[in-house]
Amino acid sequence: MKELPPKRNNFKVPEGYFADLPDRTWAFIQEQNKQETITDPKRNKSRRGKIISMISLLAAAVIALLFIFRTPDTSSLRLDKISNDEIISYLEQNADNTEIIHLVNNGSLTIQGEINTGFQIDSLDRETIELLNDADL
Amino acid sequence: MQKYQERIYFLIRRIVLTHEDTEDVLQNTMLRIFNAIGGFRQDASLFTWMYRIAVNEALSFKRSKSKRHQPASGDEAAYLLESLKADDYFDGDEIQRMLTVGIDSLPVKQKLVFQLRYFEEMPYREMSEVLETSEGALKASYHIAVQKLLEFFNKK
Repeated sequence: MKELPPKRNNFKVPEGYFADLPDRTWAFIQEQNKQETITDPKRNKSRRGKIISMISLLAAAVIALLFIFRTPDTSSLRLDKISNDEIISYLEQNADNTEIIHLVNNGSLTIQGEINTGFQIDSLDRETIELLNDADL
Repeated sequence: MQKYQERIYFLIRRIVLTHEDTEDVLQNTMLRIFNAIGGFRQDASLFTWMYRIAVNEALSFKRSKSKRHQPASGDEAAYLLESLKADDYFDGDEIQRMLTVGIDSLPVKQKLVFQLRYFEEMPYREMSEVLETSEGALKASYHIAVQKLLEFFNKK
């Protein structure tokens, strides 16, 4: 073959296809654009709705900032509000020897009288007792 | 838009081949044209601009369809020949079916150039705007496409 076959349009369409094609195309376009409007929530919000959303967002941001920058209330942490018995009881249950020595050395804890006042002697080891006795109290 | 619909239909049809697929692509093309008309910059003719959209839509559709449906045997030409034979909306004899299959087997750019020149008789100047390619490259592409089709016929 030295030449291509004669040119022909071999593609057929259903009868009347092009006659109502514009109407069908227009209906399709309207339907697609309507669906896009329904599924896109951003496009649905009225102006009033947008303002309400912005106010809510702003309020949430203000509340979050208040939490972040709130000054902690330390009034409950004043030791002079706590009785000696409560302090001793706490130390016996929660502090180890190292922590007691540290508290004594930095002045947070003052032991009055004999070292075994308020402490169970057998709860402190010998080394700790010696350290406490040597501390400048 | 109405007066161009028929031309755009056959442009798409020659790429995607079946009436059903053409209907889908055409509707999507018209939707895109409608939604994008506000951005039409008038640096090309309206028809050229619509043609470009149609070509892109048709090629996208064909790419996604070929990913989904691969002929089991791997012989796409034979598969397509049989499909055209069974298609109620294809009115050609065996030579015309072979020409259609041969065109479909061309590389994308050559296929488009051939169809626009051979079937639409589009001037190269206008084709250059549609395909955004120089006239010289288009002429070379058409010449190569014709040679390949003749080889395709002579092999078969």
